Amino acid sequence: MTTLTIITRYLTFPGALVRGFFEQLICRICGIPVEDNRIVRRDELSGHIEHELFPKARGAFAICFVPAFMNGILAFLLCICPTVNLFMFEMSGALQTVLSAVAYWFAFSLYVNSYPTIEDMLNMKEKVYKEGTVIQKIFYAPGFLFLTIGAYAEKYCITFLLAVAGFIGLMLM
Amino acid sequence: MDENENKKSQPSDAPDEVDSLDKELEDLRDLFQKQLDEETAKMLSEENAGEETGEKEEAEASGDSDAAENEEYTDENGLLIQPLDEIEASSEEESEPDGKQAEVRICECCGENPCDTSFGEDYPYCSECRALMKANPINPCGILAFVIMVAVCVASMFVAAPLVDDYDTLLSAQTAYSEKKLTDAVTYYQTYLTSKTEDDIVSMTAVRNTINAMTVLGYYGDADSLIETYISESKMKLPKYKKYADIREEYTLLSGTSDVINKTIPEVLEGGEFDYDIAVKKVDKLIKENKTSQKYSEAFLEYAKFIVMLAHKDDNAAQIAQLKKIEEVDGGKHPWIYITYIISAAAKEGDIETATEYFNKALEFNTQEIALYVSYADAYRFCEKPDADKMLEIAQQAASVYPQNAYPTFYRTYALAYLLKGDTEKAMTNMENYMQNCQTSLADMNRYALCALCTKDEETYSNVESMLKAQGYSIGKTVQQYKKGKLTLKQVLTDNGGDI
Repeated sequence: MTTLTIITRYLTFPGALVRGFFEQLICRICGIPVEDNRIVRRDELSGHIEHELFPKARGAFAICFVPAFMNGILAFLLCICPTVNLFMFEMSGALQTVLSAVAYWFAFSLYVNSYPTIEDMLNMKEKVYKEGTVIQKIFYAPGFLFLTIGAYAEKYCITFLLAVAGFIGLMLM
Repeated sequence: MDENENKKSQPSDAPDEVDSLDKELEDLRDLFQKQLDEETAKMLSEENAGEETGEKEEAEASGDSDAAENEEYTDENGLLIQPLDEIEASSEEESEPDGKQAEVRICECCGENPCDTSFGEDYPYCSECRALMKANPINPCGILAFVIMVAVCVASMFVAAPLVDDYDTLLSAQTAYSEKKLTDAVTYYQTYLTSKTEDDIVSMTAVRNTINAMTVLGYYGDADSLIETYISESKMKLPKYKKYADIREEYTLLSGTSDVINKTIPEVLEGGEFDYDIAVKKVDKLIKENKTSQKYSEAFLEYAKFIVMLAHKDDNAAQIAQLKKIEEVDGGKHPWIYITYIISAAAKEGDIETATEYFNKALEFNTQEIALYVSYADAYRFCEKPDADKMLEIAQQAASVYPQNAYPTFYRTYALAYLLKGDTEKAMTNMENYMQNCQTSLADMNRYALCALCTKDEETYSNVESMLKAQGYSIGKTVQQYKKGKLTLKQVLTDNGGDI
């Protein structure tokens, strides 16, 4: 599975790099030491940076949620114009087609690389649901559920398969 | 040394190795002890006397074991020989302070400084390395990827920005198309397509939807010219565009049929005065001679026969039968040929069932055909039990499918429904609206005159009368009979075969 994960990371490296960027940004903001800032590499942490675990619930949630949220927003923005041009109205000029192809690849890679590592997710669970307040538990619940499912889905390359299926569906529309 | 203590000093994770070392040490101790004993015995036998030996013997005899044990010996080379237990004990004493130092863990990063235990006992880094890690620079590849993505996002938006107006028009067209408001859809799409030059990128969705809508509405000529402009021959070989090659072929055949009909029908009808049976025979001959394998052309030939029937004012039942035959021949693919006529004929017959069936069928293709609503509402006027409320409901439905009252024909339906209900004031208001907004016919002038009579508006009635007179017409017989009191309003509205 690790080999497959690494292959998908290499195929979708732009999204992995952007997630790594946001992860490191959060670490810098929260003052968490980053042990290894390489993002695309040949181990199970490929697509993530190696950092120390966050000691507080807020930070633990942020390291999981912010990269996912930012990647999602970027992917959505990248998809709007190509979808409207190519699929909704079928306006296929040369420049539009090239830009659309690039934008779709980026959006695809961002979606595949949205979710946190299992380690970060478990740390978030520990900090929020064992040490956090009741308000935190309620406030973070939807995000926690979404990120937990996403983290496991990404670990087993399900996000990659879903993205491929979504893209094929769009083509057939 | 005690055996247990010896074991403790060994690494706990290699018990087999510890056992073998213990055994080896025991063997060595036995060996050294044996050698020591031999050397001692040898020395004693060689020297055989002396004070020291005497003292030693005394000490041994007196049982002072401590003195014997603390005795230091040297071998023949002068090297110090010490009992093994003493060596182990002394080495244990020496190693005690060093044991404490081994417990201090070294930083995994630099391998020099001790770990900073303030972050936990197992924390693997020293404070200096931790500070360096906190200041670890952000991966430049990540920054670059983020910047490129934002740039692509902005670029695609810049490319799309000039097309915003087009998107607006196309969205309106698409909405109308999906709601089966084909008249609106075609108008929007044509607005978009006419604004494009040859160099502009054109939405193929717009082209396809316009062609589809035009074929449903029966505008085959326009559809054909759009196909010629926007869909190349090579493109028509693709599965998605194969349909348009068929439309072109259909149109070519239809044009031929249409030319024949257009040439023959005026001859057959002979300016309105003709022998119906001869005319029908001529058209039948025409159908026979021009029969093709294409259903659409065949249906169109049958349509020519219907035109003859319509011109002869044949009975409605016969017209309905002919129109149903057209539907059968056509396979229901081109409803524009027959569907409005069927509803109209069924309405005049007061056949609610047929009118409703075809009205619903028509709505599946296009909801924006005002004639459908007007004819369908008339069906509720000419049926056995006239229903003014249903007429109003249909008029309301018609009003709702047209934006900004683009086709205000439904005002006439409102007027007739209110007349039927006996609300003459509302009837007059709607009829005036209709007269102001629509092109009027002779029948409409008579309806207007009827409304004026009902509201006792003599002035309007006189105006209508004088207007008709100026054009060489007069008020219709039915209205005049109503004025004279020979017919009731209900009789005028319901019993006159559709005409007032």
